[in-house]
Amino acid sequence: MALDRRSFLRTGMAGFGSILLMPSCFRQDRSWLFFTDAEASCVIALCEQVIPSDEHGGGATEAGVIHYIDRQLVAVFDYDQVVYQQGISALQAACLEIYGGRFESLEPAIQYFICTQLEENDLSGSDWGDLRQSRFFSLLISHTMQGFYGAPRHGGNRNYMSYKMMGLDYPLVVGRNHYRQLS
Amino acid sequence: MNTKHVNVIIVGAGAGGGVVAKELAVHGLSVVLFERGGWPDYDAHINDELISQRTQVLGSAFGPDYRKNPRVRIYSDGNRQVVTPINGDYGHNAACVGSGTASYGAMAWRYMPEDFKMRSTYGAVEGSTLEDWPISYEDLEPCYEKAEWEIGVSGDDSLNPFAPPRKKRQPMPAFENNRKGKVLAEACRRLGLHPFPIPMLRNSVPYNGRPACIRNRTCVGFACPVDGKNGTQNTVIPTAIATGNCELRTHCQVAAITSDASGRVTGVQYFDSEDKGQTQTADLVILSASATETARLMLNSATDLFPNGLGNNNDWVGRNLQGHAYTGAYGVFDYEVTDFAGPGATFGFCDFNHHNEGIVGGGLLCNEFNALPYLYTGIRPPGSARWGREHKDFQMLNIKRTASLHGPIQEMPNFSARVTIDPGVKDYWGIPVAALSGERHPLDHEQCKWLSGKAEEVIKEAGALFTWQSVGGRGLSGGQHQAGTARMGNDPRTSVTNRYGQVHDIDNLFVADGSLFVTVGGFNPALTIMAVAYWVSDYIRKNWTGTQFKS
Repeated sequence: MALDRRSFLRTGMAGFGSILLMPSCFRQDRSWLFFTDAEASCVIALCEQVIPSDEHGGGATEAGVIHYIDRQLVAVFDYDQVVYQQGISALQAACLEIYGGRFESLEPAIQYFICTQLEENDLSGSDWGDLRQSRFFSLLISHTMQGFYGAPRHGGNRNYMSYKMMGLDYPLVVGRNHYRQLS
Repeated sequence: MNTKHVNVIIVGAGAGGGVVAKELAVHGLSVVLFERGGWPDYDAHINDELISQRTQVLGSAFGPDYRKNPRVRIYSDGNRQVVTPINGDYGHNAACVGSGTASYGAMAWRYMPEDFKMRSTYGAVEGSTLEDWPISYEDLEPCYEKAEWEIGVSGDDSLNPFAPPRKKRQPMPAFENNRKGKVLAEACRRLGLHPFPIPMLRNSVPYNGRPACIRNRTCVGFACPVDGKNGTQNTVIPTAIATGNCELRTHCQVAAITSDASGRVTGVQYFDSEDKGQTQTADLVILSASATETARLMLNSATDLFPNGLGNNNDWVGRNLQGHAYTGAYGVFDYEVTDFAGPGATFGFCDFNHHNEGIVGGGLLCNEFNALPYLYTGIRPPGSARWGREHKDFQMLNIKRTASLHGPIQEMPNFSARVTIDPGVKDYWGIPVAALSGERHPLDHEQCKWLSGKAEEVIKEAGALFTWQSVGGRGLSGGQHQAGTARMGNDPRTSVTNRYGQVHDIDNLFVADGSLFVTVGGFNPALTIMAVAYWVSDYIRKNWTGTQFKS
């Protein structure tokens, strides 16, 4: 399956970069290397809970964290594909069962509450099989942190926005002696 | 490929192998130096934290390739898992020319005299194979000096009352303290401790034809963009090649050591850069592939005379896998205490390395290397939010306000912490992989708790708003400071090599890397690996007759 998507994207990369700026584009068929559009919407909402936007700056959505995760799921993290598919599917089943809607359609406060349940293996309403909820959520936390705070060349941290938030220079000024500047 | 017979094969172009290659090539021996990786390339990885040597979530820029080099981890419940270099339990060490010395933090410690005499200083420790080295600090002192001058160290011992005696100063002046270092060092002095600048294998001034350090933020875990960090890849290895006597073969995976009927080794079988099987013969074979891979190679080279692996008739090869449990404490201040000048670690103190009541050994404490943004996402007081607004706020407010003291605890060698060969799993080339099993000695965690408490006291004294400890010492050791798996000793029944790194019963097979270490000290080991490599080389040079050893 991943191979199909990969080969599709080889021809479809052109429109890829602008997706985040135009949410309506999510509905384009096969916008992603790994995710379906529906899966991507769910993961975008989850990542935004992990690193939300606030008055200090944008969160995971604005940083493009979904691109980082999507790219790595057909590369280095290919062994995590099943965790994502299984996790998203079980999460959506639970949301439909309990709240009557898909995760990304729920109020942010409810999304937040669901995430606290995932962290504690405490979300009822669907069968997670052999996948622990906390494992799925921990993986998502790690990947979101990598996408938000890692190098932009992997798809996330758009324009070094997390560096801007932390007050770190961006891109790195090679050779600049911060120590001398401060003393 | 040219596989003409040579005097010496060296497997692994890291801290040990690079030194041996240079010493023997300069002495006129013909050398083939095998390295499974390639030359480190700054432009290939720039300042990308996710592929750095400290945070290799997307695979390390310095190798090995995570898809080609699996290992097996055997847990205490018997569960066996295939692990890769992007998996935490792999015990990763760099695979490139220079190995860890291309990307390390470059601390340049001499071990203290007691570090070579742990058993006679502290007595036996139950459940540990704690022992004295067969060589002393005094034996190694000239080798340390050679490493400091040939590879290049900046430092000044005069403020360290615990510094081991030296005949000659380090070649470059010490580095200055950074902002968090000044704050913490002052607190140390108020507490009666003895802070001093960390000796570094980095240029504080131009040295050896290369420029001085530029305090690059992305230093530890990365190659240096101006080549101001000194490893074997920019010092002894180029010197070895320049003699015309040393051929470096990169991207070559050595599979096994070959032997003749008398038990002497004859060369190696390897896969070249195009994955073709090749044979190279030599008068001597020297293993410098790191504690895991050196042991794996010996165990993968069984013969009729050594049915359990070369040098392994007494079952000591692969045993006593050690490294360093890092332990310490963090504090958050109400002002920006971290300036992100690289590498970030500037001062240390040795008050807790030896002779503390109730402690066997101990460890150094230093202000820590820069925690880059992704690494910092995991640095939180216990009970803190792992995600969400609270986590993001902590990151934003405190990444520059956090300072820490950490250090490597002297681990107690454990006979059951070991490298074996997995019977089923093979790497990309079809070579059976290393299986890692066992745990650290329980004392390590106890001593980590003690050292973390000392670190926290200093950070509190420095005026942190709040502090917390991070205590290491559980699980299996190994990793970048891996050591101990081919122990040197005087008794063949309880060691793998003699005091010169010569494998017992095989006079033309040597080890020259951290595998030889009997104990690992409470210090980063790179300079000591280099010194031991000079020591082994010196023995080979003095006893070389042209084609063999004096008998």
